[in-house]
Amino acid sequence: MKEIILRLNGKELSFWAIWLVIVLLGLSLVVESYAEYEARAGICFAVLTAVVAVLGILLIRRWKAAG
Amino acid sequence: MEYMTNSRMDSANVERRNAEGLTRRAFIKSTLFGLTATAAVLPNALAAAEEKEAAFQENRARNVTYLENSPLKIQEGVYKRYDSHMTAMNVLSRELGEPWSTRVYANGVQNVLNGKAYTDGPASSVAEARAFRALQCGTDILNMELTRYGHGMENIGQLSWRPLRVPKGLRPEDRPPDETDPKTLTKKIKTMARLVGADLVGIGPVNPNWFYTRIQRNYAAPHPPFITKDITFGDISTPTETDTALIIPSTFTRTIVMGISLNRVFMQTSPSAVANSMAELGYTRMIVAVVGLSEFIRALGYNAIPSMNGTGMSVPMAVEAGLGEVGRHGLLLTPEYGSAQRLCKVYTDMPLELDKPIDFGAVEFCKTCKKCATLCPAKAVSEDDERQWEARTSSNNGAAFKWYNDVMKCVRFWAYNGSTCAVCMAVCPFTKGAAWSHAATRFAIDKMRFADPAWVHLDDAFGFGELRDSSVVWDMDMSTYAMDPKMVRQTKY
Ligand code: SF4
Ligand code: SF4
Repeated sequence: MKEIILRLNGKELSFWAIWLVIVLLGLSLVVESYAEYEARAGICFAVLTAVVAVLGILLIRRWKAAG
Repeated sequence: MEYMTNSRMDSANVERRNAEGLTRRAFIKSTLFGLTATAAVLPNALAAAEEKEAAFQENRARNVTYLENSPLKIQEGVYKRYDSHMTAMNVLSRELGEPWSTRVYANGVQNVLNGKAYTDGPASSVAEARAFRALQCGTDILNMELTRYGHGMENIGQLSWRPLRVPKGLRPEDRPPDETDPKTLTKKIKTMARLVGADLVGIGPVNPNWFYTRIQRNYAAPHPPFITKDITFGDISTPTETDTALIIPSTFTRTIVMGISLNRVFMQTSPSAVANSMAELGYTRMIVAVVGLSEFIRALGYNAIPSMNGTGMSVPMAVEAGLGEVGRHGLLLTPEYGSAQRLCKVYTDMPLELDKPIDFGAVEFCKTCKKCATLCPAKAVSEDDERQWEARTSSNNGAAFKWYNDVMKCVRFWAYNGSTCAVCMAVCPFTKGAAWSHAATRFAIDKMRFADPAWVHLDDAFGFGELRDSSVVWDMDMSTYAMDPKMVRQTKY
């Protein structure tokens, strides 16, 4: 883990930090929605979180590929 | 085996960092940048997550704008105090030739026999429909026996304007107050209000504009004689009733308004008997709040008048007591519970500090939203973009700047439905649970008002406020009085 982090440059680290916080917030929204009997909102948040997570990974791979 | 010493490890790391172009400073900088950027994206999210534990006033100070003057506007010289003989329930009773509630109850029983949760809404069986109606019977019994919503019950029974059980020697007429400092008294009043079940409490002035001109003792009587009494203000020291009038002393300068929260999920079963049971529970809890707080005030040597729906209009009083804003549906909107609360009040001559009215963007949001108007089964809620000055029915009180609703359509629907209705309360985007996302959205509604249309569309898209099948209440997590523990805010004054 440490090695992975150390290998990242400043821009990448910022990106991953934002990505991680957004994904965690998204997951907390999914959990909260279900706890509040808001099933449709839970599904919407789950889909949105998944989209953000995947887009983030694709973006960082593009950056990597572009050097 | 060769272990890497600290110094060798450090130099190896430095080498690697140098190779990657990442210095310690860059690392810290980038991390800080990432966190700051995140905080900028969701500025209120974390603060809102802590809201559950935060003190009520601190929470409000973060999320609302305090106003120096009342936001309620009336046309001076044109506006008249409201005559409660003209309330929609009174008018409907005269129209039907029987008390409106008799018709509601009769249709409610018919719904049970037809296996329905409400006239147009099926239940799974007659037994289930009966259980829904039984909830209503259990929750409204104390209110119906003791106070009948406070309508026409001014200075009667538990709603007496004089001390009930305060021991002789401690009554206002026996001993002057031992505490007179408004700050200290305000703190004690708010503590007691919470103790007797208020989920919200605020202190406003006694504004005669919001008092009825007269009350009707035989409330909802279908035929004359209508037994009425005027409400007046006079230079007397204690609240007094004569053959023709109820007189409030002009020394009464404070209105303590309390909000009793209603469980959101119950309300979303509207317009069923189950939602109605939550409203009835609100009234039953109100008795404890207004009677308990009034006796507390009297035992401290001051006078108090408890009031539920009687004496005057609770919504404008609540606005001036800083609890919230008036929504399109004519109900109070609060940052804490949205539309889901009932209101009651106690008038007093106790010197208390006034709370300031608030603005949290609700009226602005209502201009765009219209969800209550669209989904109202009786089409009773105004769809006008802007608030108006003119009344829509004889049961409205004109010359005040607000949305006027066709309250007669509303109560006629209740009679048809066999149960009161609260669809407008339930679907309101402000009536939400305690998730931090809702707090963050409320923050955005207040601070970024241009984006209101987007929030309305998102609310619909995410399915918020959708009405539910009544049977949901048998399986939901529930605490005492079906209060949502996460929604009950801590209070510190
Ligand atoms: S209570 Fe029901 S009928 Fe009356 S205004 Fe609200 S939604 Fe319409
Ligand atoms: S549903 Fe919309 S328009 Fe109606 S009171 Fe609530 S916010 Fe206002």
